[in-house]
Amino acid sequence: MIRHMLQIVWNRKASNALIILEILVSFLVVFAVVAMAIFNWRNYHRPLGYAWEDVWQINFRIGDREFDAAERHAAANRTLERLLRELETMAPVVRAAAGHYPPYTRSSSSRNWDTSDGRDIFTEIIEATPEFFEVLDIRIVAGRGFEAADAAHPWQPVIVNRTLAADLFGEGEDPIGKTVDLGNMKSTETELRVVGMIDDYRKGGELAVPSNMMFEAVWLEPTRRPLSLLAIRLAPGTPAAFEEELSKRLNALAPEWSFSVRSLAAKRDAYLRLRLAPLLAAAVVAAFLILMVALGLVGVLWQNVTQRTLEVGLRRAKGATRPNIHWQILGEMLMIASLGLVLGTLVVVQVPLMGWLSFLDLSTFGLAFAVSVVVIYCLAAICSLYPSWLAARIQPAEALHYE
Amino acid sequence: MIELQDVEKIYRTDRIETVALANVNLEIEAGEFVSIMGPSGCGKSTLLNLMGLLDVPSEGYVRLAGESVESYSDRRLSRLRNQRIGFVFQTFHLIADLSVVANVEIPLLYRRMRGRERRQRALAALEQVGLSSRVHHFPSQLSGGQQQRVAIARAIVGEPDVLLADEPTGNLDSSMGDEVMAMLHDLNNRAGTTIVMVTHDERLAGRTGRTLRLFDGRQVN
Ligand SMILES: Nc1ncnc2c1ncn2[C@@H]1O[C@H](COP(=O)(O)OP(=O)(O)O)[C@@H](O)[C@H]1O
Ligand SMILES: [Mg+2]
Repeated sequence: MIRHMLQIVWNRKASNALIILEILVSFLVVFAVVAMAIFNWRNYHRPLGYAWEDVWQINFRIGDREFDAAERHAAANRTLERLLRELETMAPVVRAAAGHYPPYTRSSSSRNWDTSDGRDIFTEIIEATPEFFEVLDIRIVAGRGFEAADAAHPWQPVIVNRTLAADLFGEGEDPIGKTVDLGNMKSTETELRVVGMIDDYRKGGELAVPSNMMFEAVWLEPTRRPLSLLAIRLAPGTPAAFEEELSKRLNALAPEWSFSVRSLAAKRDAYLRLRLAPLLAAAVVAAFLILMVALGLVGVLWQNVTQRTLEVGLRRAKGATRPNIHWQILGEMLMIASLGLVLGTLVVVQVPLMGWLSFLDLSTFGLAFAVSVVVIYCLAAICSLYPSWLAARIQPAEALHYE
Repeated sequence: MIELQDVEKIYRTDRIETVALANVNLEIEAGEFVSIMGPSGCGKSTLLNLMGLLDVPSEGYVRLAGESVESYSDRRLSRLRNQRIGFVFQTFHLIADLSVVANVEIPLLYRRMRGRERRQRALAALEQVGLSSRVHHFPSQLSGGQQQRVAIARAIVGEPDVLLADEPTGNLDSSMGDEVMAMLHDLNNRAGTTIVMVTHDERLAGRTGRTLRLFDGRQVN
């Protein structure tokens, strides 16, 4: 029976071409959507590396009364130091830190270099005071956090995440105490020495692609360019109303600066809404497209069945039962779907072969492929339900009567 | 072999009621070769469809090989059609997308049978109708007479007890028609297959064992 159906499907390939094309297109669309969904789902469930609850960030603009840059930096750093100290005296504030690039921020600074043995290293760089780790509850999993004593070293202490440690020193190697191989930039740069390792710091939020991270310790020395952000951890359950008191205090401490306070919880909400909206839109568009394809398939199959009324009548005369006819229409549709899927597979395997979408790892790719195949077979089966029911209902005497 | 008792067939469409058959009583013995004659539209095909279990009578009974089939399920009817009845039609009804041998295999698809045996039987049936050299052709590549021979091979491949032929020579010229008739006689003589054939040709009807005449849905004697 299978060979028989194959012969029919094959010999009708011209009239099945449209169906095959529709299957191919829907497979590609389903695959893209499913791959993105799986990718985002997996990212979402990856540990963030920090705790956003009860953390507020304070952005500020420095009042520039000083004309001389050096003088301006020194004054700003003095003010920052005072702000940090004063913030921690407020009852709900558990810890205060200064840094760059808080969570749910798109902007970043990064660095890209070749090691002396020619490996290409990419990492995002974040500057922060030692307390930053405490404020965001970023766990040090090996080595230690930054310490006041680090300020005296001639080398720059850094803390790296696991993926960067693996890139720099090899999978499973202990990075602690090692110097970062800066390749041909070695002579011009301060030595970077790893003092600690963290699991991760997924600054871009739950849906961000994992990235290498390197923290550089910052002390509020008069000569350095001032940081742009304060972050505070509050006692759990601190009410939003605290913001008013906080702003008042900040304005009193630095009247010539302007501040804006925002909780990471609010930032996260806005971030998720913003990031999920296009994904949802893509899913809706894809669903609509699939619906159109489904209606098209039902139409084409329906027409097929009408054209083949005589054939169905003949088969019934020759002993086919209604279920036989049902299964034949369904079986042929699944075979046609398989042809479309073979073509779809040929297209889709180009993606990893050509190195496109390299952020999709092979397991996400494989799972998305499997899910899409199942979805397409289900779609094909559902679309043949009505036409095959119609075909099974054909009365042989009538079918053979009309020519 | 085939028994019809007080059979009536009425086609009902929205407005019109067509009485295609009325008060038909007949019995066809095993091994008979019966022809049915009558003007167009008198109910010959309807009668054949009832005998072949493709349709059910509005009134009366049809018995095939002693079995009363009026309460039979679709499955049992299909099985009876498959194992006991072979059909041949005026317009052949070959499936264009299938090769000759695949067309002949069709009745065997609905039996429990290995693919190889199916193929062997289909080839044997094609040999019987003298088409061994056209096995992998497609119907469109054959002449009308050859197509009807394929249809006969398809009708006999399952070794049915009864062959129902609805104007099998209607679309053929007389020499091809004679060829097909010879084949049917051969089948009737050698395999003892019961044959019921609708025809418009008095000459062909004269060569059958018995002729039933229909007029306006009624038997005429
Ligand atoms: N499926 C059907 N629906 C309605 N009327 C039908 C149908 N089949 C046959 N008829 C009518 O029944 C009558 C007998 O038809 P048929 O048995 O095909 O005649 P014949 O084969 O002798 O030419 C005709 O009047 C025909 O129009
Ligand atoms: Mg007729």
